[in-house]
Amino acid sequence: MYDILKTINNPQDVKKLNTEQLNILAEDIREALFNRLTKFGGHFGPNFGIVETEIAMHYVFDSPKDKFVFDVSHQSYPHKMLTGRKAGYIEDEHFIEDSGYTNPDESEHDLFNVGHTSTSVSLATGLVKARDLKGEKYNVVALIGDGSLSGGEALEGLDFAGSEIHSNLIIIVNDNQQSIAEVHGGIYKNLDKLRATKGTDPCNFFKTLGLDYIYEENGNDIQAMIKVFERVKNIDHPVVVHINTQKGKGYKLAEENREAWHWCMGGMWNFLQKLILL
Amino acid sequence: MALVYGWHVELPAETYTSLTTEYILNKSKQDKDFVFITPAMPNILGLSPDWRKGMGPQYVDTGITEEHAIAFASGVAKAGGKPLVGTAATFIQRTYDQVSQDVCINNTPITILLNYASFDSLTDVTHLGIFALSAFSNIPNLIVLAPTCKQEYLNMLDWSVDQTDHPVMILIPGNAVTSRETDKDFSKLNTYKVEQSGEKVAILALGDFYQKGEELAKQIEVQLGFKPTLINPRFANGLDKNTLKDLQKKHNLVITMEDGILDGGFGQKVATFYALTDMKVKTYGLKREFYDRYNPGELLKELGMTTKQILNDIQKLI
Repeated sequence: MYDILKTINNPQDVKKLNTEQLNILAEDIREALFNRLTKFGGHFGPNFGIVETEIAMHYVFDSPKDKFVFDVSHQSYPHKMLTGRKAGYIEDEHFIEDSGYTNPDESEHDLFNVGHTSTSVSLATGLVKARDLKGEKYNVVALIGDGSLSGGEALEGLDFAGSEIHSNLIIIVNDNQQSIAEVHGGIYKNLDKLRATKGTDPCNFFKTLGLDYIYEENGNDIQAMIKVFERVKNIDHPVVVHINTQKGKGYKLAEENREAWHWCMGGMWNFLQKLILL
Repeated sequence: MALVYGWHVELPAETYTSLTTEYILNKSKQDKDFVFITPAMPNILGLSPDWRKGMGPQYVDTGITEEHAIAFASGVAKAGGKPLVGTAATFIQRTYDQVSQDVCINNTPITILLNYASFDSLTDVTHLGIFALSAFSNIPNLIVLAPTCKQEYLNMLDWSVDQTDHPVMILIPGNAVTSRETDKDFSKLNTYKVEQSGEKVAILALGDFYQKGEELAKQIEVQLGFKPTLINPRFANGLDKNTLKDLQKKHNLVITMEDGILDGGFGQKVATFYALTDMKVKTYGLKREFYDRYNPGELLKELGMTTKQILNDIQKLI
């Protein structure tokens, strides 16, 4: 168990893996997630759905030099496992060491304490501004879910990036067609259209705001995600990478009951909670 | 005198706004890590279009986006920049959560500069700046500073923008500019300045009410025959417990004065500190009300806050 994950102590270790090993790593991560989430509690669906993307992020980019900002950061567990904190997922006595969100006190790979939604793009644009004032060079990557797009601060951040940022900024929009409950808002009609046309429809919310745009249909395919990140690495302007993923992917119950499996409590309460909600 | 469009014109003496403009322009020239950020309110800090253009990438108008502007500043500070965010006090209300979470939980060293925070500035109900002090004072990690004169304002700005330990909010005074020498370093947090040492009554006059405190102190000496203690708190949301304890030796009445609503504000913290002691505390400030288009002078009288009225209160209390 955890044959590949056991060998990962930092993102450098991820870069050494071949295709097959990366796929096994994804399985290991899901096992580790299941271990922590069913015993200790936390966010289930969001993390199961983002495994491949976060593996690819660390495979292609160079954190902590390249800076990642996770929106809400409830979906940063795979990232934590890949940045020296796997113990908090595979060893029960270490559960307590990891918080449920990014935490600068735990790791230099975590830039901010986050928990409220829609802040990632704004925070990322600030990093970009300081980077540019100081003449430094690194990638700034924000990861935001489609649910969080409805938050005003996210819209302000995207709008600002679309006209005021003229340098590297990568905004991954993780579209799993779900908030905690179902999504609400006109913007989702546009996301539906974009997914249906594989990102080619000329009516494109992000382009309207002045942002460059790439669509990736297979957000849960490591090789596809590595390819798209290699394409945008070191890009010299803001770009939205709109990816399609499946919330809860890898655990059938979570895939089929996305609202109930957004979050789970640990231990016996987990079992009871699912029983009641189903 | 100045040459304006070919005419010699008597310009008003410097204002806190003009001092702010000067500070921003000079700082941006001296320090390439400094960036001034505003959610669409450059005019409030006196920045004309030409001056803004001259600042290049060190001037950022984020559009009407208080939430984004604050989080953006947090990101700037996190990556080593020196951000100063400026707007009117009434607008900062739009972004309580971002100040709390994007900034204060992360302790990112941004400086938030608020103009029109005084009861004596914008009097329309929807533009009141009198709630900012109370609302934001109670967010952990945030240092709220209330300067009392020109030197103190500029010193606080200098200290805050360069330090990297705390998020800071500075309330720009709403009264006429006055001058006197003050401290330059504010890293010893929550330390009050005893500007005049006296007895019986201690006046804690916060921010732009300091001049009212000076006037009251003078009148106490003239009319009541003793010299009171006059204190400039500087720190609006943290108690200087040592100084407050010390006051118990020679005083039995503390007067607090603040340009903001009393509820959740400065004076109530002082009163709570003395609650189990013999020290009497009388707090002066605004009521928790949506005032609308009032005459500031009249309002002061209604609230019993003219020097004469406070003097009367003191006579009854000591």
